[in-house]
Amino acid sequence: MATVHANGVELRVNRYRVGADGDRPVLVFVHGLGIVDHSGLAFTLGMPLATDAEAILYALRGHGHSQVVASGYRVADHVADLIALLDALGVRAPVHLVGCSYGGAVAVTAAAHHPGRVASLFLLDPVLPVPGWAERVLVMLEPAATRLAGDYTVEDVQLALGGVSRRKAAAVAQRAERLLVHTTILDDVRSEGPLDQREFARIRCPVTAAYGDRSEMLPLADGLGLLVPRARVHLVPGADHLSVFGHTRVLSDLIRRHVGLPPAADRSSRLARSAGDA
Amino acid sequence: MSTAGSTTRTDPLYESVRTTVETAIRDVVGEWYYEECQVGLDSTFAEDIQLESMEVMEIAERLIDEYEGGVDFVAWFADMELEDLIELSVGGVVDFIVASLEGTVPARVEAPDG
Repeated sequence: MATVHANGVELRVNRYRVGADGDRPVLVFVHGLGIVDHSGLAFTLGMPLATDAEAILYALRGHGHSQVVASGYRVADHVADLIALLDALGVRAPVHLVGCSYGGAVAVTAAAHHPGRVASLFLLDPVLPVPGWAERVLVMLEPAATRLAGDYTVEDVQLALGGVSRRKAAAVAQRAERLLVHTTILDDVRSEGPLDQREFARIRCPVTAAYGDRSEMLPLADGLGLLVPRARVHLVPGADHLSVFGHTRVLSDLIRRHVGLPPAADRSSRLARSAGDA
Repeated sequence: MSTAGSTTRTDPLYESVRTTVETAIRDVVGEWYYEECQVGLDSTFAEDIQLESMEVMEIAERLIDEYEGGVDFVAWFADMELEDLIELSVGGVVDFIVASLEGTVPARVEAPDG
């Protein structure tokens, strides 16, 4: 774990590699907006993929343990952070970006504006920077911001989060209020527009997207197919925008295939082989 | 990952690791909540202590700093399925660290190519 100064912001970064030295594909994960940071992705995808790749995960500005700045929450700001972060880490070769939810918009924009830095895009239930994308994000953020700006109780938050502990609810509410109420993030998102066709045309790298087949983001997949004709789209059965991130084995296998890594051995065969080696 | 049913060791190495793990959790969640949760070896991070993933990461980072190269947490987590993460318990972490320090963690088996 490290804190890296990039683009004027302190960003919390984790870099994982398990096993032997040598050249490996570099995967850089970009997480979604709100109360999350990169840690969930680190446990479920980053570390498992680090057995064969180098996995870099970081918390976006305003999230997790990264710095909460008062303003600068447009996609372009996050892209500038990402490129500056790669520079600060000494990663000059093109990387495989894994853009999750809103992180998809960051990853796609990075590929369009910095094609020399992006080897490929794997988009996980992404928000795509197509017409109407900001409204889809605001629908999720604005109601929460309104409640957090008014009188709310921790009990309200506990209820909204499905009965979590008082301590957890208070922590989540504090983080969310800090970001949604005390920064310009909502105004920044409201001011966003889509990428235009010329910008999408700059994306020449391989693109794979995985959507839950019940995801609220799935209608955007048609736009991806039109704008990036070579993009491949996979559907995860029975998953919506939130639950698709729990299909870790499916997603890990898709990412492995996307970047040309061997499939992960399943646990039973690993255990059997370990026992055989003992 | 639960240690329910296992025999808890009382030797100095185990007790030392247990204390280190408990201290890391206590430092992250705070004394009051730690006591309220009655954290024990069978307590799971997700359900019983209701930690967020960023808190689990913070605890893991403290333990990585504590044991430096002696405990390969990343390789351990890399082999876990989602359900293992959900069921991860305090005792499971203690057992893994002790096994690592004693050199009894099986070597990782690399996935075959292809």
